[in-house]
Amino acid sequence: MTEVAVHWPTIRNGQWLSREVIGDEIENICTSRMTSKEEMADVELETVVSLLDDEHVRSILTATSETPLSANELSEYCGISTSSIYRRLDRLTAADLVGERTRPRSDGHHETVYVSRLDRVELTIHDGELTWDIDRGSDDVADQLTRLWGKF
Amino acid sequence: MSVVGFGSPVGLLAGVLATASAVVGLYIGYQAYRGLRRNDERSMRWLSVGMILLFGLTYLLAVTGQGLLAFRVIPISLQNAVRLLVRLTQLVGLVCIAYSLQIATN
Repeated sequence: MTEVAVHWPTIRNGQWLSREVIGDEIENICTSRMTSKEEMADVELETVVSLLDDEHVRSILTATSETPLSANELSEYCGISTSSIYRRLDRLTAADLVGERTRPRSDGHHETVYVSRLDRVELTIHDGELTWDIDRGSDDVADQLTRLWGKF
Repeated sequence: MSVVGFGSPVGLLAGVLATASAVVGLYIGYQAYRGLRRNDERSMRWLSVGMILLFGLTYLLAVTGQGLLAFRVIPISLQNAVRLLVRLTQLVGLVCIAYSLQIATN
């Protein structure tokens, strides 16, 4: 991070898309881009890693990546109590790894169902630097249309 | 698309509905275009082109055609030509959407 910050002005002044940019600087550009992406992820690596360290969290993410499930359904699926499920869901929602939706129930009421938003976590250790990135599933209309159209 | 003057209430309503379909159609076309840009999905290009032809261009042709005919800018004998042109863009738009569906991958 510090190294990137030091290189920023150099890249800017040297017009970082020009041909004069040499290999070393190209690498710095890549790193700085990665870092800005990481900052946008607004979740700590520690949070993600500690979440994924839990077997039931992994089950929740896998199951809800396929179909949206309610806390009760998840409790049945994982074989743990609903309060344990809610505790995990709270942490997952806070990290924005799980999204909430409402689903109408047969008795006319609505219930909250959960959907996994985690697509990919990538961690790279290279040349003395650690970078990581997280890809989340999108709620954007355009992306949903693309997915839907592909399913026909 | 029949040539109805906007003078009568029915004609006005038809015009409003046609405008609404154009807006909704172009919205879907725009989202398809964004889908193309965001996901680099080829089928989205054809869906977007299809929607724009089917709703945007067809609407534009119908409205301008009607206007030109109504104000006698073009002779009334060209009325059928305008109709034909509108139908043609409709067909091409639908073919684009059908093609997009063909090449759509998940």
